[in-house]
Formats: sequence, C-alpha cells, structure tokens
Amino acid sequence: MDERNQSPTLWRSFEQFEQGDAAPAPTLREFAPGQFADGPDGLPNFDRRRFMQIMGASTALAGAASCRWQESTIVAEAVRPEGRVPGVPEHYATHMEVGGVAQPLVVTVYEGRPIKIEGNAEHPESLGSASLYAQAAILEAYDPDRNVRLVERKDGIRTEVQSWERFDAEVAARLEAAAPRGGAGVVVFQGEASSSPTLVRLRAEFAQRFPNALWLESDPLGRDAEREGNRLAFGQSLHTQFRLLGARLILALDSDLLTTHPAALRQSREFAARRRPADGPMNRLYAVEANYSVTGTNADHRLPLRAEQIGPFLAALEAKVMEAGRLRAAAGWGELPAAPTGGFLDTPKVARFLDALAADLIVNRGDSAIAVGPGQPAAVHAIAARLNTSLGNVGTTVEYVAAPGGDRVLAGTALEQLAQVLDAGQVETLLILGGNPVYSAPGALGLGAKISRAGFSAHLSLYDDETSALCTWHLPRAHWLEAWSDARTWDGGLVLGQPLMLPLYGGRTPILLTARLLGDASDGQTLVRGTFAGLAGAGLVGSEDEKAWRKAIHDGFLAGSVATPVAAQPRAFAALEVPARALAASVPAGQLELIAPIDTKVLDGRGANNAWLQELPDFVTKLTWDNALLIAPSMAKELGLSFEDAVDLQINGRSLERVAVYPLPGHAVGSATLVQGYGRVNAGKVGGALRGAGEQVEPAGFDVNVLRSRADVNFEAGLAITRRGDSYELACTQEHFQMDATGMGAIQTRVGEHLIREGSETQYRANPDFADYVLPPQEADGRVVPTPYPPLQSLWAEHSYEGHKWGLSIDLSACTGCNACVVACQSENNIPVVGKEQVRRGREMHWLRIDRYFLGSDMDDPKVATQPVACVHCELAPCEQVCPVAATVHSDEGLNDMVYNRCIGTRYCSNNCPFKVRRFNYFNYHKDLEAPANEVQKLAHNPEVTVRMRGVMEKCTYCVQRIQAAKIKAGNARRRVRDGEVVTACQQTCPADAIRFGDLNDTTSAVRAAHDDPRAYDLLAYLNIKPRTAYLARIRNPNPQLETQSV
Amino acid sequence: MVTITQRVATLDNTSDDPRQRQPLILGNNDYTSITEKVCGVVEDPKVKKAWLIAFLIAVSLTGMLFALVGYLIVTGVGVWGNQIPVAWGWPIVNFVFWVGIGHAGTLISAILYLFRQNWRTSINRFAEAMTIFAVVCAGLFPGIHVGRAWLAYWLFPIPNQMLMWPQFRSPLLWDVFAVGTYASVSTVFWYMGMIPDLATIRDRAKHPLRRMLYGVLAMGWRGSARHWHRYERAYLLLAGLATPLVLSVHTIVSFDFAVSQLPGWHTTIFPPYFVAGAIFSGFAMVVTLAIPARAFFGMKDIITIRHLENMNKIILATGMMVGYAYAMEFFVAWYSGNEFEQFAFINRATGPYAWAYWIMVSCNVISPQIFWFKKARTSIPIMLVIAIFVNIGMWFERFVITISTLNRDFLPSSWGYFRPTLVDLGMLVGSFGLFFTLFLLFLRFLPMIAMAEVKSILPRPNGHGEAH
Repeated sequence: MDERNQSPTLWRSFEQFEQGDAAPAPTLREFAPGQFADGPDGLPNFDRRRFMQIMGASTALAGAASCRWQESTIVAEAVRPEGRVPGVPEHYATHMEVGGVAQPLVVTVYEGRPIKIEGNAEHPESLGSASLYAQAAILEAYDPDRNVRLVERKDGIRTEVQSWERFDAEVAARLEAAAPRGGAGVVVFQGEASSSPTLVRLRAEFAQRFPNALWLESDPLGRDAEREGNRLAFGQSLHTQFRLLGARLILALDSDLLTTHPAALRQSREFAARRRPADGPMNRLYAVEANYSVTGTNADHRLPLRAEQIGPFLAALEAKVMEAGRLRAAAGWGELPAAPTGGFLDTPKVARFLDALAADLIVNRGDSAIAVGPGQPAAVHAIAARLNTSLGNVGTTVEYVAAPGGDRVLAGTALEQLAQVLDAGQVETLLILGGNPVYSAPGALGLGAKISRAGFSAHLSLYDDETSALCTWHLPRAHWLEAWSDARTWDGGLVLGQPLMLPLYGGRTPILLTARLLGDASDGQTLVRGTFAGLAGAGLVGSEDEKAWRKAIHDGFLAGSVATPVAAQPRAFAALEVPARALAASVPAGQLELIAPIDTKVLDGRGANNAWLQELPDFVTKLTWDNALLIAPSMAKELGLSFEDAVDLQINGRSLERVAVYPLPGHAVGSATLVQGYGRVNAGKVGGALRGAGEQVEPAGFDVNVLRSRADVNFEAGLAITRRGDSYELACTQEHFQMDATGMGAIQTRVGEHLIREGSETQYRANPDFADYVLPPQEADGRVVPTPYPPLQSLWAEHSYEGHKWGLSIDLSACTGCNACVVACQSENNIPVVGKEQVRRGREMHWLRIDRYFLGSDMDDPKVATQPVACVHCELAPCEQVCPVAATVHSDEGLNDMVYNRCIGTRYCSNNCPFKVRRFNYFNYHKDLEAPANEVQKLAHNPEVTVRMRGVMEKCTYCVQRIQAAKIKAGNARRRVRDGEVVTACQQTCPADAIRFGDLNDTTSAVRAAHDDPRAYDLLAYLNIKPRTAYLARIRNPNPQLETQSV
Repeated sequence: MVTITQRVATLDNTSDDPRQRQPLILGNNDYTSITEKVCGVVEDPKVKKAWLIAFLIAVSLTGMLFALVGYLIVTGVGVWGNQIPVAWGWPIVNFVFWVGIGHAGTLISAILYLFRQNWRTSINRFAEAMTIFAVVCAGLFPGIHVGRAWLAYWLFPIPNQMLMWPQFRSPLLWDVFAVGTYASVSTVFWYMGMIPDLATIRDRAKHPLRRMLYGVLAMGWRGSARHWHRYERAYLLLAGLATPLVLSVHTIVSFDFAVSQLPGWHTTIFPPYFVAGAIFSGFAMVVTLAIPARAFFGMKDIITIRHLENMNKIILATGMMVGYAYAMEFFVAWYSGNEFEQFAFINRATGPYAWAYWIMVSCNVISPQIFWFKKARTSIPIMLVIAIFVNIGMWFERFVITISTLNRDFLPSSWGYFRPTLVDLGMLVGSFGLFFTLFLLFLRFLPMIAMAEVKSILPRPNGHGEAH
C-alpha cells in the first residue's frame, strides 16, 4: 500500500508538486486568465473580417456548448508519480463511520478512481471483512443525485450557488454577531454521531469560543440506550464489548450481534469460529426477538416475543438464574427488585424456554454473553449488565470500555431539545451537520415544521434531502472517500481516513465546516494530522513523529490505541417498570405493538438512494425496493390479511396510509414491524423523489417515522391495522407466500434432504459424514446402515485437470446469511441493477444469492435455513452441452466460462441449469448510464470485468479476473499460484469466514481440506454434474431440554 | 337400399356399408367441372368481399406482428414475460405449436400417398400449404427469440473468420437442421405437386401477364406421357423422403426438452408423444380450415363429409395417443422413484399452472371422445368446435410443457411465476395473422385442390366408371 499525497493534479514543476495544495503556484494562476479569458479578446474595436470570424465561431460553438464537458486542461504525466504503474490497481487504507463507529477499510483504486471497498485485513475489527453498507458506499460516492452546488432557499425559490464565499461570509457575520452573547442563539446539530477526535477537538474549541451555543448530537444509529443502561448499572457511560470466542452460550435479546451491531464483523467471525464442530465444542445461540434479525435466523433456539416483553422476560430470567443457581449479586446492586411474574411468562412455551435457558446459563457461568439490542430501553440494558456481571461473564466474554464522548446528552433527548429550542424561537442560526433529522426523527416531534422557525439554517449533506429542503442553505458534503478523517472503532482504537480521489463535487466534511466556523482555513490533512499529533500527549506512543503518521496512514489505524477495559463498579438502579399490557400473553387487535427497527440494508434511510442496497434482497423477507409491514402469519389470518394487501396504520393519533402487508413466519404475534429507512420523498432518483423539480420518482417503501413518537426505543403500543381492500405490489426474489400446498410440501422434503443438510452437534459427533447419506438407511443383516448415493457413471470421457483445478466451499455452519458477499460480488463484477418492476418479473441479476427457507409445521415459530448459491461450476456442466453456439465452455482448470462475445442469448443454458444461477440481460440494464448526467457512475465499474450488453447470459465466474491476476503474478515469478493467493470477492468479505477458494489439486490447500471434510456434500449430486462448489453441512447445537420443541 | 347415384346427388358418402365403396367425389363432377371449379376461384376477376375483409384483418395483424418484432429487436427480449427461471416463454410455445400444426400437410401428402389413401387427394394441396405457412410462422420465433437476434446466423454452420462452428451437441442446433430440412422438403413437395395444376391455369389464362406468371411457375409442363412419368417418379421419391421427416422434425423438436435434464422434460416418451400431438393438432387445423373453405368456395362435393370424417377419426386416434402419453408420464414419474420427477408432474396437475393443465386435458383428451359417435363425426358444427378445442388444447400442451416445468425445478428458492406481457399476446395473435395472410393469398392465387390428383380418382369418363 502506498500513502497518497495531497498533491495538485495540475503541476508544472517538482517544487509545485511537492508543495501540495496548501501552496498553489501563483505563477500559473496569474498566467491562466490571459490564456483562457471568458470572452473573445480585443472585442471593443474589431473590423468586419474579425466580426465575421467571431460570428461564425459563435454560431459554430453555440451548438457545441450544450453538449460538451466542462473544459479541463490535461497536463501530461511526463514523470510518473512514484509507485504508480498504469493499469495496476492501488490499495489505500481508510475507514467509514456509521453511527459514530468506524469501520476500517481498504479501497481499491484504478487510475485515481476508487472502484471497490473491502475491509482492512490488518485491523482486528475487520480482518478483511466489510459490512454491506460500507461496500455499497462506492455507488454512493459516484451517485449523480449527490448535490453538486450549494443551494440557497429563500421565499420558496431554490437557487444554486457556485462558491462557498457568500455562505461563509454570512455565517461568519452571524457568529460574530452572536459572539458577544457567547453564541446564544446558535445551534449546531450533529445528525450523525461521530467519534472523530478531530471533530471532538474542534467542538471543544467551538464550545470554548461560544459557551452559550448549543451543540447537539443525535444519530438514529447511535447506541445510546446501551450507553445509558451501562451508566445506570455502573455510573459510567460505557460500551459493551463482546468477546464471543470464549462464549459457550450467547443470548441475544432483540439484538443483532451479527449484522447491525457496530462490531458485527468481528463478532460474526468469533461466533462462526465456534460453529465449526471440528474445531472444538460449539457455542449455543439463543435469540428472543419479535422480528427476525440475522442473529435470530442463526439461533439454535429462538423465542418470538413482542419487543415490550423483552424487558420482563430478562427480569424474570435474571430472577430464575439467581435463584436456581444460588447466585448472589454484587453488593453494589443492592437488593434485587422482585421479578415480574404471570402473564406471558406462564405460557408453557415461554416457561419451558425460560427454564431451559436459565439452567443452561447456570451451567455456562462465566462463558456466556447476554446482549440487548439498541431498540430496548436503557433499563433493560442495565439488567443485562447486572446479569452478565452476576454470571461472571465480565472479563471473559464481556468487557466494558469508556464510550467516546460519553458525556453528551442522549440522542432522544437531543432531538427533543432541538424541537424545544426551535419551538421557543430561540434559534437564530442552525447548522445541521450530516444526518437527515427531518426524515428520521419521530413524526410526533414535528421537526419539519419547526426548522423554519430558525432564522438561518444550513444543512450539510450529500443530498439535497428532506432536511435540506426545509433549510435556508444546503451545503454539499464531501464523501468520506474524498476526505481526510479520523474516528474510533467500537473497541476504541484510532483509525485514519485519507481521500481516494479529489472531491467530485467539491463539498466539505463536518470537520472542515466546523473548522471554517472557527475561522480555521486549513485543509483536512492538516486538521487530522494536528489532532493526531495532539493525541501523542494523551499517551499514544510515537505518534508525534513523521514515521508514525506515515505508518498510521498506510495501515489505516494506529496500533495500540485500543481502549482498555474499565473495571466497572456496580450501582443500584430502579427496577424495570413493566406495564400490564407488556405482561399480557396476547393483546387486542386494535392495540398491537409497532416496532420500527433500523433496516439492515439502507439503515436509517441514508442508503435509500443506493441502488445496490435497494435491490439487495432482505436477509429474511427477500424483499427489494420496499419495506413492508411484517406480521405473524396467524395474526394475518386473524385480521384477514394476506401478502401484498394494503392497509392503513393508526397509532396514538398518527397514521400512515397504504402500507403493504407481508406475513412473516416467526414474527411475534401481537406486534408488527415496519423498518425505518424507506418512504423517502427527497432521496433521489433511486430512493424516491416527489418534491424536487426534476423527475418524480415514487418513494421506495413506507416511512415508519411518521408513526413514531419516541427516539429512545423503537417500539410503541397502540397500533391499529385497517384493511383497505386494495393491494400494493412488492418485489420479492423468493416467492414464498403465493405458494400453494404442493410447493410448500416440496420445500419441506427437499430442502432438508437434498439442499441444505443439517444435523445437531450430537449427530455430528456420532457420525461426522452424515451429510453424505441421502438415501434412507437400509437394513443389512439386521443392522441399519446408512446408504451413500450409488456411484454414477459419466456418458462422456471426463476432463482431466492437470494444472489447477479451482474449487470453492461454503461452510453452512459458519455462514450467517448476512448478505455481505452479495454486495461484494455486485461491486466486483459490475452487476447491474434492474429496478423493482424487473425484480417482480424475476429478472434480478445477482450472481450470488442467499436462499432462505422456512422449515417446520408451526408458521409462527419455524426454523430458518439459509444457503448462498452461485454457479457451482459443474465439471459435467448441463449448460455447456445445450448451448448451440458454444458460448459457455469448460476451461482446462475446471471453470465453466461464459463467453459474452459469443453468446446469442438462446437462454437454453439457464433452462438446463439445475440451480438457476444464470442471469440474463433481458434489456440493456446499463442504459441509464448513457445519460450524460449519470455517466459519472461508470467510474464505479471494475475495469477488469466486462460490462455485459443486452441479450447475453452471465453468471458467477469464480472471480476469474482475480484468478488471472494471481496467475500472471505467479507466472512472472516463475512459480505456482500459492494457496490463498486467489481470493474471490465473496470470500474476501465474508465476516464469518465461511468461504474457501483455491486449487483442489493442491493437497495442502484450504479448499481441498474443506472438500474432504466429512461434512462436505454436493448439491444435487445425483445428476452427476460434479459441482466444484462443496457445501459443508450446517451443524446446530440445540439444547437437549428444548430439542423436542424445535423442529 | 339407397343407390349411390342418389347419395352422390345428396352429397352424402358417409355410409359404412362394406358392400359398396363410397365415392370420394360427389355432385356429378367430371373432369371439366373439377377444373372449372378449382380454376374458377383463381380466375374470378372479382374480389369477394368476405375474402377481402378476412385478408385485411389478417394483414393488419401481420403488420402488428412485424411492428412488435421491430420493437423487440430495438428494445430487448425483456418485452416478453420471459424471466429466470422461465427463460423460455410464449415464443417457444408458439414455435412448437406452429411446427406441430405443420405436420398434417406432409403426413397427408406423403404418408397417406404411400399407403394409397386416395381420399387424401381432395385435401392434400391446402393441407400442404397450411404446413408451409405454419412452418413459416414457427420459423419466425426461434430467430427473434434469441437475445441478440442480429447474431442468430451463428446457429448455422457457416465458415467464418472466427473459425467457430456451432456446438453440435446442442438440440437447438439439431432443431435448426430438422426444421430447415422439413421446411425445404415440404415446399419442394408442395410446389412440385402443383406443377400440372399450374400448367392448367396457364393454359386457361386469358391475360398475357397471367399466362407468363403461371407459365414460369409451371416450368414448361406440357402434360406429355414422359412428363407424367417423371412427375410420378419424383413425387414418389419425394414422398419417400418426406415420410421420415414427418416423424423426425417433431422428434427433434421434442429433443429440445427431452435432452435437457429438467424433471418433466427429461423423458424418453417425448418423441412419439410429440409426433402424435403434432399430427393431432395438424389434422385439427386442417378441419378448422377446410370447413369454411369448402363452404365458401363451393367445394362441398370435392371435400366431402367423408373426408372430414376420416380426419376426425385420425383426431380421435391421435387424441387417445396423446392422452395415453399424459397418463404414461405420470406413471413413469411415479415409477422412477425420483421425487423431483414426481413433483414436476404433481405440480403440473395441482400447482400454480393447474388451470393450464386441465384446459389441456379437457381439450385434448376429453373433447375428442365425442368422435366415437358417427353423428358427431359427421356434424359440421360439432367437428368445428372440437377442432378449435384441440387447437387450443395443443397450444396449452406446449404451454404446460414449457412453462409449468420451468417455473418450478430443483431449488425452491428460484421458483417463479411467469406472467405474459401484451407483447407476448400480440405476437401470438400476430402469428395467426401471418398464417392467415399467407393462406388467404394461397386460396386466391393458387389451385387449392390438386386437380390432377382428384381427377385420377374420378370415375373414368365415357360412362364406364360406375358400371365396373
């Protein structure tokens, strides 16, 4: 990796190049105007001939003016910058901050344009994995809907402003005017949490200069409930760190440890490491939640409860554990309050679950971890902290570290405070840094109507969105790929971010804007580096010198900066308030519970204009381009609702019309889920644009925020659902709910028997290769022996693979079904987005999909089985035999190659593919990129992969471009490709490390070992297609006490 | 006992009395009257209004078809309902449907000729024409069905600078040869059989232009004994050549399905089943076309009820074969013990496309059973209705085979429901437009009845005939 210079793109001399941006060469600036004057020179006194020349030229150019790019000057790269080889990609470390927590990343850059985002393999919080949101950010950076210029709105007129000067001057004047009052009347609202030390430093400076100014921070993705819960329990704002490697038992209460948690990547890896039975005893995961989380789909035992019941459940569990385990709480907690009893806790199912879980927790004292999700109230978090401590988990599986900026007010309080000061008319100047509070704040606050009460308001954001539309100024924000930054990961470590390209559309980061407010005109690098140097005093060894800075920039993080665990002191806190309705086993139909969690794809809506995220099938509903009201199938039946029925929602005086219903097996009865992040009216051409002047685009999905009243918890009681009688079309990639009895029956038999083979840990220990036996056991002389599939004979002479023999394996036991690989594949392979209507037609283009099946007879509590499926590169590929023009052929390394040039599109190969992994370009799905305004998105394409035209078939290539790159590299060094040198995009990002790729002829390769694993099996082996992708059977670890209940 | 003379006068030759051979041509026709009747249609200077209206409708539908083809090529095959998993939709259904229709003509001309079934002479000409036009309609679909229609010529083994041959293991390639051969042999057969009749029209033509045009088409036929000798020889040879083609073309079309490995497609019963189905649908189409044509052009005495009844018997027989195949598919699926195979058939009958399956069974298996009754076999309205039912049923058979197999194969995750678009519908309707345009032109400009052949089965002139 090479560090990147902040050098000007235009330079004439080495001096100027090395001076960098900070000191632009005055000579060129002075020289330029004379050369590129705006008008024709010598206009005042011209003769007839000159007049004709100018007239002619003007006429000729008049037409050209509209269709030309902005003029730019190309300066030949006479001397190649150090380290740059044309055509060879470069990789730079950086990070992305989501919800105030950094994700360490590495970005691949081709010729100055970032094309792919991956995790930083050196950083323990990533180990190479990146969340799907971070990976999709590449599309966001090139989004043509990003606002290019400042926008001023005055008296309903929207004007685009070229430069920052006027805004800077106006703000400076306002701040100056407010200075004598200590900044009273100035409110800075940070819509996105940030752990950036630079921003913290600037914020402190700001507070010093304007002590009476209000600085608020509220991020819908923040984890303030947890911070507050820990403060209740320990008197300190703390983050909970899970060390799941040591956990034998994990209890997730409405908590998604595996995808939306800030440390989900590390936690997934640690969780998955203990799901491989060959590597030692497995962990056991219990989940209690209303709607599915990825964690819930992976649970060995899952109990669907309403969100409001999580607290009482945990309190009851604590009491049971303390009593049955004869445990004593630390003295600091004081006398434990009486636990709630009765109600739903006495239903046989819950009681049985509670008993088994409590017994299991007692057995695994010190090796268990209890996690509570961010949507639960602080008090529930506090109980979890107390129970974790009582069980002796702290120090082994659970650690507490100080939360950065832990003294700030809670997100919910901050929003209320903002609404309050706006209401009171105390705001003269409002600056909103990032976020989109008008959209994401609970509708009950009515923030949208109040913002205009501020005399002057400015919103810094990537898009001219809902909030910008109500502010007097919209300020373009520089994307994090274009800026210097610093932040902290969940473990408290410092990470640094560097720009991967110059800002496409200008723009500033919150850091830069804050610095300008303080009159500091330095660039991002100076600011970040200033902080970095300052931190040296705070005990970061070696950070003061150039070498440390260079190394930190190169690595993307500062080694040894991880926060040390805090020895938390117990402190008594009030008992959990349990309203009577929360205890009730069932609630009346008009008084349901509405849950509004953060979406796993578009988060709180910040990814709503990202087409990759919109088209990514949800991990459990397989919905694209929409959210939907998720309810339990039995409740849907009771309410007379079915899939795609449109309903109106009313809750405590607020209402939302025409929402689609999606009956989701396994959803808790009595509650309904509508995720946040959809129904945006000012997102852009992808997510929805109804209010802008341009093209009107219907919003994707439904905005649940208008129904919400509280920002601190994500559930609320009192929901009434009214059927409208019409329907709303949803686009699912798996049609499950229109399915008849015939189809459902087939799923039940074939999934378990053929497609996704599963066993319990006990089964595995007794018979590790159980997955090989798909025929019913046969009796031989009185003994029952399992029957493997009979050997199959090939009709043709089979290929022999002398050189490489590429193969892949997917460990279903480790795979969590988190979708990260799907986005990685999309980004790596230039996979187009087709839109909702095309998805409804069944024409989505994902080369890799995650299949999801519900198993079992109880629709309200089924088992979920997931399986990633891409082309398995059959050795005897059915697709190859039927192509009439030999467009899909076998390589001598066993790849099933697709020759796009040769394909005429008969689609016979797709028909004959038993896995239906081939994707066809029914239209030119890249057509929208031809519009001049959208051309910028072409920059996101991977130049190593062909962009397919319409009428050709495509599918997974095993990332053949990566194989070729590794082979060329090895060939140049005259050696064979080593194991681990070829890493497919899906494998690279898999947080659970479930995918192996390599040479099956290499007896020492990891993929060979996986193929030889007793758990390995081939999909549809009976067809004698000899797939090169092997699946490793999923092993579950059910509690014997509960086993009969789970299906 | 009613005498044959009486029956000839009443246009009834349906008696099954074995003691007397029934005449095939009724209405006291002789050589002259046959010539006058058949040539009269071609030579009539007035354009009949009904013909014109039918022709205009057909031409406008053809226009729509080609407009849609243009739209398709400009936009992409996504204008159809095709998707993943149902990558083949209506275009392939239509293709197989039209190829199936195209079976009756050659069967009548070649196989029935070899079996000396003289009743074929009245219907073979337009049945053959129907065959060729059906193959034209069928041939259109695979060409435009591919994603990049402008490269469809890669399907042909043309030497090229890429040094690429087609892939000879693919049934689609066999299809290209099978349908290509069938189309060319049928056309030659049809045209050759028409030469003596074209010469007749030439000889009767009054306008020099007509004389020249038909003269060119008649290729200098003078009706000499040598000509007749050569003609009969060639006709016999071509009949011998065309006979295996009747069986091979739909066998190979069935390979498109049978050679792939999808449950529901991968069955050895497909070739005979497809051939039987093709003959079934072909005869149904001949009946459908013959009934209005004979009424409209006054040919009831040449295409008699007996002809129609014979065809109805074939429809009944092939309908039973098809029904047997449907049942046998289920049996084989059950007997195989393969659950994927079993599911494919249970899904056909009870899955999301069950409605299509039961339309198919009702139309193809149940409805022809009425032909066990002679009354039904000889009743024009009943046979017209049944023939149309069979046409519908056979279209649905191809729909069921193609779509209800593809929509649910091995992995339930990739199951999907196919919905056709308006373009799909427009092209199906448009293909009928193309078919009828060609057929109406044929009726107007070419001899629809093989005069020379019909004359050969007439009682000899000069009064010998009936006395023998």
